[in-house]
Amino acid sequence: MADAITVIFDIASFTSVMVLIVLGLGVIASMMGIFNFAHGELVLLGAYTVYLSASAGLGLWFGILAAPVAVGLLGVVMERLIIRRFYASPIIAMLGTYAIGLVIREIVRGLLGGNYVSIPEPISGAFTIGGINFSIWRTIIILATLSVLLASWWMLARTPIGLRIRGALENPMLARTCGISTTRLYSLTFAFGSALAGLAGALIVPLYQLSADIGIRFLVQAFLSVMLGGVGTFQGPVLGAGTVGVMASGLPWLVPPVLADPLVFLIALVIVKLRPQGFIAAGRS
Amino acid sequence: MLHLLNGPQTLGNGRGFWISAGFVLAAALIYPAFADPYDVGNFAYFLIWVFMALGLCLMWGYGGMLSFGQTFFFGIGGYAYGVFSVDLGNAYGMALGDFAMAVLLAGLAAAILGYLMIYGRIGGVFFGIVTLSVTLALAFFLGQTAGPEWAIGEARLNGFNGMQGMSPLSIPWFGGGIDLEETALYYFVLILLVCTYLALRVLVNSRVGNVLVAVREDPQRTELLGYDVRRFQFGAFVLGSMLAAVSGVLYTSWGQFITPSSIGLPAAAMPIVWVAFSGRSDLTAVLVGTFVLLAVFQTLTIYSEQAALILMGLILVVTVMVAPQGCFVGLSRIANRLPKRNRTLRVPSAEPG
Repeated sequence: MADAITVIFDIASFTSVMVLIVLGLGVIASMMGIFNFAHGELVLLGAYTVYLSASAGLGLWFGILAAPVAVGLLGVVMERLIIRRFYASPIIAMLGTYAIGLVIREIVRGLLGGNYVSIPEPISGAFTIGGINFSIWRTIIILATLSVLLASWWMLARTPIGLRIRGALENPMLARTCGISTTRLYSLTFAFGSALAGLAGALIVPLYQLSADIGIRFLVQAFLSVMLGGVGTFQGPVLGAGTVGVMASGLPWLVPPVLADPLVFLIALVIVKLRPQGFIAAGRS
Repeated sequence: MLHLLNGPQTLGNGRGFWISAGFVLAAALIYPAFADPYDVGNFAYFLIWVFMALGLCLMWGYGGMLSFGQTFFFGIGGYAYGVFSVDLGNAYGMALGDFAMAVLLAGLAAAILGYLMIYGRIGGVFFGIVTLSVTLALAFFLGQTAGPEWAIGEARLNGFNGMQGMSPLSIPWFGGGIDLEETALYYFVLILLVCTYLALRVLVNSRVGNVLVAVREDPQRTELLGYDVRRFQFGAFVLGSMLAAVSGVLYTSWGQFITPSSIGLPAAAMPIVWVAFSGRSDLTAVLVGTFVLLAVFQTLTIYSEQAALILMGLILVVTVMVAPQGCFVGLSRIANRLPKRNRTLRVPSAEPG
């Protein structure tokens, strides 16, 4: 029983990480129809911000708060200068964002000197309930993911800006006719997605060592999540991330870990073949 | 058959083009006489990658399917050749058998993956994502096969350090085989490349190639004209992937090793950089561009691998922003425009029937 709860906690904390990463990717994919191949590097930059803040003596917490802001601002710059030209052709966007990601990753690799850096948990240790230990930091990640999800949902469903976003998603042309600046909305969406990536990187870096490849390991799983969930809705990618997260962290308990990763891909591909539009198909045709 | 070497789907159809191509080939043929064997081997190394680029050019530039999976099939070809050559040896022409079996195995893998994707109607961006996923999955998997239990016959997969100890390609000859190394390998690869290039030119200018281009331009219209779009895409995907496997086999034979890092990122994106930069819609542009980029990349890597990768990234960004159809194709269009008399008319769509 105790073991089962530990496993479930483990799965829940990994799935939270997946959801946090996929949310930013999914928001951008739904809104602008492009897959940001540099998303993993935005996660990396979030993690790197924490490292910079810690080594400048500003502390870990400052870094964690600064990461979404810094990466979000970078997102605005990227969108204004480069990404915006790609909206008409998603495949070219894929190449362009991949190239941006490559440049960011290799620059950070140079800055880190190719090393792995350990970042301590801001609140380390564990608390005990009923004789089972729970890591405090992982609990914070789960709670942070839940609050981000709630806040995003609230913003989309209940605020004026959310209404505009839904309008632009439903029918960009009509939204523009109604006086909504989709150009600005797209900048905003990209910044928001980037900020989420930055936050995700900042939160997960104590769990994984900081290296230039920290984002890459999640990138493909994040893409599969968005494919599984379907583009165009808020729930779709989240649901997909949940599925992939549970599979990726749960399967190693059932099959040899070497086979777990390929198995996740295989199951995801079969589901995609059976349901090409994703779990939740968008309302628009 | 031969008249199909020239046609609407290839740039460079005039007499001038073929004469200069002949000079380039002649120069390539006599090159080993003036260079030391190490440089010749290095030259062969550049040529080895071109097969993969031509395969991607066929499926992406002509067929409109961007695959991130060239290194997936490269890896399957390379590892399969390694396993076959360790277990079956390379004597009595067996090496060529290993070669053929490895490429066919990759073709089978491409058929399965292609069936799932193309007949599952996965297109556009998702085609890229699925192919990238399987590629990285294979790289991760091979990286974890370090233990002694991961062996096929005598061949140890060796995890992240990669397979080694396979024998080079060898051609059966009177009184023992000729091991293809350095100069011999160079000639073998050069002849294979020339044949592949000419065959692909014939293919893209034939009816099949024209339909393929029509599919790229407008799949729905092509379907309404009565073509089974998926069959053409499937064929192009399998053929292009097998060309990647050819690269994989030659690479493994060239260095007698192969590692998972030649499958995963950033290796998986390199063919795309070459093809995008050169101009994906033309075979000749890809041939020349890939060669140039490889030479630049290697020169830079000697100083710093990071700098080389950053440059590749910047080249890709600048290419997709400034000349989305590629530098060489863009340049040759400009060159074609200058003297009005030699201007070739390019017809993007196919004639039905």
